Amino acid sequence: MPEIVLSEFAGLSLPDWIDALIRIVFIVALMTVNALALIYLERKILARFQQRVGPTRTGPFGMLQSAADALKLLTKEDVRPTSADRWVFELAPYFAFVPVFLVFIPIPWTETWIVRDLELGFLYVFGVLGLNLVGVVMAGWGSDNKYALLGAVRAAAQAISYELPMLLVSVGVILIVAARLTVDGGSAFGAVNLNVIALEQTTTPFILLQPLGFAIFMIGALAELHRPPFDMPIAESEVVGGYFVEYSGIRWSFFFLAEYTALLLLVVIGSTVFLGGWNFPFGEDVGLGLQVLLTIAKTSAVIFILFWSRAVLPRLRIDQLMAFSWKVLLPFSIVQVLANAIILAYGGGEWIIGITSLALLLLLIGLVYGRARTLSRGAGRSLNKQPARPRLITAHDPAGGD
Amino acid sequence: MSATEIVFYCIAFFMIASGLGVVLARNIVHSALALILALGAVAGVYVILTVEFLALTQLVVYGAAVIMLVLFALMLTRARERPQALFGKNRPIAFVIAAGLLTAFIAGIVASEWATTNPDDIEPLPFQEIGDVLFSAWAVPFEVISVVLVIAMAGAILLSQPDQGEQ
Amino acid sequence: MPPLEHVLVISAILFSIGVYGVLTRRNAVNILMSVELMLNAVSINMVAFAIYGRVAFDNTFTGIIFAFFIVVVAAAEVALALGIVVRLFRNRATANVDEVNLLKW
Repeated sequence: MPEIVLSEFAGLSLPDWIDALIRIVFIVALMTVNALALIYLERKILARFQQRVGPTRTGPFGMLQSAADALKLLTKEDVRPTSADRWVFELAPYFAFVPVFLVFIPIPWTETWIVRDLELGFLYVFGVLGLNLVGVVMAGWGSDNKYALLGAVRAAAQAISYELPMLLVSVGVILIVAARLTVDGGSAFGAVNLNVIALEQTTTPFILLQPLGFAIFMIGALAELHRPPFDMPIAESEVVGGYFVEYSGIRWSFFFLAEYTALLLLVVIGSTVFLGGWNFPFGEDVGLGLQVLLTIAKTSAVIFILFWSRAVLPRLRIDQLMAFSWKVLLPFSIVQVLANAIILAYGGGEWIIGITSLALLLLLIGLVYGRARTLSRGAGRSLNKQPARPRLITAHDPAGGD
Repeated sequence: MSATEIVFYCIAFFMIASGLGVVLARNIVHSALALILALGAVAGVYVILTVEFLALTQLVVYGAAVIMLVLFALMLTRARERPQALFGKNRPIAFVIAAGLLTAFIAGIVASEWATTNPDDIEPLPFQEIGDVLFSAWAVPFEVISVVLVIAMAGAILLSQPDQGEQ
Repeated sequence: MPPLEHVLVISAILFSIGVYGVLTRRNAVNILMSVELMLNAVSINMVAFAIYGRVAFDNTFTGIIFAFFIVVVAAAEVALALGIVVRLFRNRATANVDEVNLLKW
């Protein structure tokens, strides 16, 4: 697997540690710029959806707004509640942030732009990203605040529930890759490598073979990132601000940096696994520039859809959210993996996998739509039966109390 | 000493320090957090021993799932609102037993002749070999393990269900 | 790589710490954490034997498979044990093992 060797970049030969340093600086810069840009874009896009104009004052088209916000956050006082558990409270932002930072390692931005090409890249991503939760729970518990604790418990429950379907549908893709790799008696070695998965999609992206997989992966990503409609852990109207209510200034911005970086990373992983990453329409020979453009284009498109879902979808209830993962997504993803395995084992063509997955996706959409219809109709009927009657509450009203 | 060895001893020191944190912390949530660090360090030891696959399994299973379960249990049993003595009365005896056990272990380790290869000749174990063995020679135990998991899950659900009439 | 003995000594230390924790702690959840430490110490041993003895013992690495199974069994055990702890807390309003003495006389 070719790997970019910075030490031979521009004809210089650098020692390893400078090479590593350059990569780290590059990642940190990317992270910061990404967070600032995403916050600005999110505000602008949301404003368009709501027929507003969004930030306009700072800089051209308000583009410096998030930079100004960042400056404000950096200079803010760092407050710690007196009853907070000191070490847990102060270390929590780093525990939430460092795992996200580590996930940068196996991401294939282009064929050769990878920090380190890991053989177990996919498993690594999920293993390390899951540790993010530790920071969240530490923040919730350390703040000594009921709302923070509730938010943290919600975040943990949600992340654990939605990680399972995400992993399972990705196993579906890995099965296809492994089947292709072993076709000529080869070994399935590398089927978990993100770059190999991207390499296999020169002609067809896996979204065509696994539409259900892509849908479930994106739903899971929304839930992992606490984005609407799955933003119960940080829902202002329910738990005030979630696990970071008590944080301010730079520690608070650490949580946000982690969140927006995780957004970018999960979307890039999703587009690598399902949309062909740097590979899809043009293949491997188009050169670095076009591959970077492809990655950026696919990532931006998916991020736009995520922002869009924030603008148009109402928030779920926490029990609906858990039920949706365990009763709907998990069975569907298990069926998907089973179907893939059976079809591949009996030598069925890949188009059969595509059709099965599409049928499953349609079934899923039908189920959700039908359920929503019954729920909304039922709600309307019960409202008609018992119209809300305004009632004068007096001091002696036994039902009203005082 | 090679770089790998230096990293190994650092990880080992860190692992033992956080292990001590688990058993000595005054606050039960602190000891749960120390457990995370200790288990992470164990994953690091696996990486040094060239079993990356096992290290990642460790992170996925322990890092997220087990720790979350432990923290949930602590919150359900209200660890914070009820400060109380965390240690029993038999600390000296326990210390003697643990120290005696450790001495016996170390004596056994030092006294034994280990039929090993030279550590510098060890080649990394490719993870697909683990998979091959797991699904051929160990296929039946693997299935049995999955049955164990299902039974455990059913049992946990049954145990944590509220009684009849209980809110 | 470090010599085998060093790995074994380190895992022995971790195991003894776990034993100490199991013997001293009162809270059931805390005891469970110490048990996890002991299980992980054993896993390190298994992996170390598998890796260092692979060439000497005809390219078998059963220890790694065992470590893998230990992880799975530990997950099952934690789920069940915590279920019991939560049930215990609900019935007796305590999670301390020395206060659960109904069957003691």
